[in-house]
Amino acid sequence: MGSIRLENVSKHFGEHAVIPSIDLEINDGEFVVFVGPSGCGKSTLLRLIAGLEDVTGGRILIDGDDATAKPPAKRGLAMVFQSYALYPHMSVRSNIGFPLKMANLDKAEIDRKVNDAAAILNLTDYLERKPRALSGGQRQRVAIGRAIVRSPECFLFDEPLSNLDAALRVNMRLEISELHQQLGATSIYVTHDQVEAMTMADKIVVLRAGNIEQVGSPLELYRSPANLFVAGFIGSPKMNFIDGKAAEEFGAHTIGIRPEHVALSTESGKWMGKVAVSEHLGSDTFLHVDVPELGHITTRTDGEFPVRHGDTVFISPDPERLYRFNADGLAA
Amino acid sequence: MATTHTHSAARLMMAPSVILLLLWMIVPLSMTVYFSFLRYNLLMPGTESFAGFMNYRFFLTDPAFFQAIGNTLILVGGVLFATVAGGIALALLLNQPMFGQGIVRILVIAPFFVMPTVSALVWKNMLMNPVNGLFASLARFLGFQPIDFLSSIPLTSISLIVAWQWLPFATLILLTALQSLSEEQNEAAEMDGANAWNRLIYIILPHMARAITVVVLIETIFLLSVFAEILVTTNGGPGTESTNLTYLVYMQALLQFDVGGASAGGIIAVILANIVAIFLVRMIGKNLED
Amino acid sequence: MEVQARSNYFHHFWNSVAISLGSTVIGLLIAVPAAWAMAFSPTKRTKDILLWMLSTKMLPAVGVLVPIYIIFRDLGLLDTRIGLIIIMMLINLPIMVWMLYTYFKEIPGEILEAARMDGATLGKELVYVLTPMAIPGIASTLLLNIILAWNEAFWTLNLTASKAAPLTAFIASYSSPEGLFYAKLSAASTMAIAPIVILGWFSQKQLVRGLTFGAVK
Repeated sequence: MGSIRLENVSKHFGEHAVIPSIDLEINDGEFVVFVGPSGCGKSTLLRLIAGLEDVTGGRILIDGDDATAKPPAKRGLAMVFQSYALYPHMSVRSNIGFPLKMANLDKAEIDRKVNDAAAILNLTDYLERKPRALSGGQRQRVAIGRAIVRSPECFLFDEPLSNLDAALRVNMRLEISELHQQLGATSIYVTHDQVEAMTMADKIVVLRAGNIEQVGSPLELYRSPANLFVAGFIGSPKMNFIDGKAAEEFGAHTIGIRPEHVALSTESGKWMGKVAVSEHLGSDTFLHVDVPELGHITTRTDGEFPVRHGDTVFISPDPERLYRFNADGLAA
Repeated sequence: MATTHTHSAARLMMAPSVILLLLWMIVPLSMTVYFSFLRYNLLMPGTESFAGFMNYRFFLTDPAFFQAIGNTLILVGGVLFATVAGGIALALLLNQPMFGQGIVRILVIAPFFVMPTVSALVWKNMLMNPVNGLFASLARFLGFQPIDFLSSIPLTSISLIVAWQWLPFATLILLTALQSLSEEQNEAAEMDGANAWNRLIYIILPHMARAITVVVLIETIFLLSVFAEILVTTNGGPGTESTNLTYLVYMQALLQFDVGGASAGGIIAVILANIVAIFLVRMIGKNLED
Repeated sequence: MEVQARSNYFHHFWNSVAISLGSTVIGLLIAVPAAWAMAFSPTKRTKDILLWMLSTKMLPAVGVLVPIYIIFRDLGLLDTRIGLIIIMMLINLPIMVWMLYTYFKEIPGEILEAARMDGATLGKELVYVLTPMAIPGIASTLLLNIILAWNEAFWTLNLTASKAAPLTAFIASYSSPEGLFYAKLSAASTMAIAPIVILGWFSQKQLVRGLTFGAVK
């Protein structure tokens, strides 16, 4: 089926090692998200799996078979590109049917599969149009349609939502998740957006500078980040980091406090600060507080918390949910 | 894309173009350099002998040479000025929404597609002819004495013909540049209180600066080699009044059969063109990076 | 040129057609692979090669007039169509490579990768994806080069007499009035410029790109 295993995979561009060495196990049917800041090697890793780049060293096993030297089309994978990469001169029908045509399926079979895919993706009314006559979301669906008609072992998504506007992005996120439930095929999804990673993934792989920082389910990463980088990357708003004397009090080199894990009060508390900016969202209130000695602390509380710029507030961290890191930045 | 086997194939695909152009550049040019140091006349084969810098000395002391250089510069400068100034004006005009824009554009661009010999002959016989030409009739109608353009002001007349041919090129490029100016920039300037004149000086012309430079450089390359227009109108005359460097070399080579002298002249033309080419290549090279 | 040659207008018209079409088609066969390689498999030297090609275009024709004339005389290429086809092809080759390069550059690499993921072999990729996407660029290049070759008036005037003379050279022989001069000149001129003005109208956008080597789009 669709299990993928990377053994000691590395990639160099000239002298530059984009990926020094990676081992990774992806189980059949999993939705795996590669996440990390730009330039962390996540797209390169996806392209290595796709076969669009040659590995410098190591092996890629798909379903237990060594696929390292196989051409992309022979790996049983389908990819959705960031720019969608639709063929501009072909109709939606021909775009979706193209991989089947390349596999020399007969016309009736192609038509049947294209119609099925179009039905799943709500594209039935647009089959005769050219890509340029479609909206961004529709183009995205055509790109997905082109991937699903092949019934691949595994779907690869390369930042597929980054060209859509915010509202559409949330919609497509849901659609892709739903599609995954429906089809049950393994999916590898690359993004720099940790919200996409948290909401969609069964398993998140956090990458930095070509190395895996941590692998785990979204909540595992949220609850027990392995190091400062993962702690700062997962969660929104970002975790607050405090070092120095205040951290030593808790027996750590650095402590991390998530904005949602503090108690706020206007009367008393552990640390006193002044509100720099308050953001009232109705459901939540975000406060950006200047605390002398500690610096800038972001807090998040449910519902309304009626303070304004310049008001004094007291912040108390929840000692149960405080993250401790040693001098090397590793969770202690 | 980035897989390894494609690179050697790429080299093979480029080879024919590179080899052909390499031959085209090196073989004749080195022959020209070689000939320029010979005493060599096509009518007296077998009498070639080494001449040192004689051909260059001959060329560089010939009064016709200096006139030709002067004429070349006047022709290039005059046409450049006329086409750039006219091109900016026409581009601004054509960029306005107006009735029949498509037709007007065809008419403005058409002269560029007329072959040089045809346009030169039409100007010579139908417009500038002192007896039957349109200009002469017009002058007589207005009560003036018609002038014989090509004998009394030959260089100006040729410049006029050449400018007519190149005006569409300048217009087309400047118009293209103008159309890439975002409407928002213009509107922002308007909000900032700039009037039409200010917008031209501070927004539009700076935006077109690169296109103008490209026009100047490319036209210069082509204008240094104006030939057919001179051949069919004045034959470089009267005397050498309308002879440019290209035409002078042509006369030396194919009318007087002086291979050595013509080659020396050719090399001088190559050097002149290279001075312009260096700037143009640099500019386009920079452009490649973005 | 002799007087009787002038009556044979169509002879020269066909010379023009043969020379401009011939040089353009041969040029494309050579330029397409080169531009293709540079656009899709660029190396560190690609940019230098492109600029060098451009610089050959800036070589003034008179700089090589004498040797080309002598080589053509010795090889029996003077006043032949094939000779002019070679010259036209060479002088326009840099423009062709450049124009094609700028067009090919605009075909996104991801599309080619998508085709490979979809299982297209190199041959199928060429037939179903690349060629349809490249055709507009190739057509524009074809058009512009036919125009440039049709109107070229240095080499055609210097390397032909009558047999292979295209319209540019033929019409230049009308330089002094005689007989039914105006009627003939008008007729010949109209026929010489009409086809190319029409082609030119279609290609005005490409003209900008081609003649500025992609510096203005």
